[in-house]
Amino acid sequence: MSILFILSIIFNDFISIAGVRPDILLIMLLFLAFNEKPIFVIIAAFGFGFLQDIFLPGSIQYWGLSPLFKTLLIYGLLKLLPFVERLKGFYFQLSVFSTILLYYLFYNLLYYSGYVKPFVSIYRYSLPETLYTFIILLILNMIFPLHNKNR
Amino acid sequence: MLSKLYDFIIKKHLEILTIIFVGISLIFLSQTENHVVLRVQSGWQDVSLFLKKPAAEQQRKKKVIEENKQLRMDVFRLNQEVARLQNLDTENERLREMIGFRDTSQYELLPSLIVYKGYKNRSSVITIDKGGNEGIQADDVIVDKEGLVGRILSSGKRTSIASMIIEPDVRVSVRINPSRVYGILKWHHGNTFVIEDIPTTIDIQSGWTVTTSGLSEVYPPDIPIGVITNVLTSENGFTHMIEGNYNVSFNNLREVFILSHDRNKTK
Repeated sequence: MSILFILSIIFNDFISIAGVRPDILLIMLLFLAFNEKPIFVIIAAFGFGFLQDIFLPGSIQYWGLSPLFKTLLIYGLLKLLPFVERLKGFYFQLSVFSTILLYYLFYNLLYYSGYVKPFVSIYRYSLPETLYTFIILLILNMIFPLHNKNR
Repeated sequence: MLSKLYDFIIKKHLEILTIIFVGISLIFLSQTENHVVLRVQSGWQDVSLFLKKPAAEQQRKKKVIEENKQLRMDVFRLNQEVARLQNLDTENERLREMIGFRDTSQYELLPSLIVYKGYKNRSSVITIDKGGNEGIQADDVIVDKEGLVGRILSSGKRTSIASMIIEPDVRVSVRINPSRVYGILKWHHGNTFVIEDIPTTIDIQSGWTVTTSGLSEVYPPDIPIGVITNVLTSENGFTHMIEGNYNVSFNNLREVFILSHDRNKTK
């Protein structure tokens, strides 16, 4: 995970498509949320968000935005986890997609506030970034299943 | 009291942690311009740049190679375009000269394009894009702006086959100017001709011109043929052997004019 984290912050620019980058740290947090203890996950959410704001470019203006939204999102997800874990197939994937979308909607609305209109931030940033992140999550999910049934 | 607090903390540890983290995040948000944060960020940028450099260099190299490939293709395309334009320019120049020649010629001329150069019955022939539909018939004369080219052998509806005067068997009745001496011209080799049987008593000099004589039934008079380059005496000592160059560059012929007998009689 540490290697993945280091790789993601180093090669963040290289995996961007037309300026759209996936949030590898968010993917890692989702994996952790389904597989690790809640206290560890909430600490990781804050820690990853904190590191993201320091190391990943583009987060200079709002230092603290990533830990704020990652912590809140993971807290909400952990609370809804018993319900989400019961979902299967399409509905499970839809819930994961919605989680990512929710994060990007709030994050980008604040991040780009004053720069672009809210609607523009949704279709120009939130939706493409959600899709890109979700696709990578789906690919990783085929190798390392997100949902640990033995939990 | 303490045990209650402990139980509360144990029970609500997730919420408490979340509130603490949210609080810290909000404090961070209010400290966005903090110089310590900015220093950490700029320090990381340096490290990150060092780590990213090889990959970025590789990416740049790949981009340069791609760009180079594209530019080579562009250069090739442009060279092709330049060659095409030069060709058009030459063609334009040639056509302009031909139009000028047609307008100043005393004969009525029909411009025509050579569509094929080849051999028929071991003679080199050309096929032109004008035929019976345009009134072309056998023995019509073919000329170029420089002079005589040949004559029509046979004509179809849309095309005609013609022979050129650079054939071993072809003879043309000519007149040497300005002495107005008549002779028979035959092809020698390459782009040269020879005129024999002119008595040595007649003065012939290099640089004099050779035109059709008008004594032939096929070729009308005064069509330029070539220029004398060398005047020799034949083995018998009584006649000249006159060598000369054709005016027409037969190898580079692309367009010709047809001088139709019928049209010129009417004219």
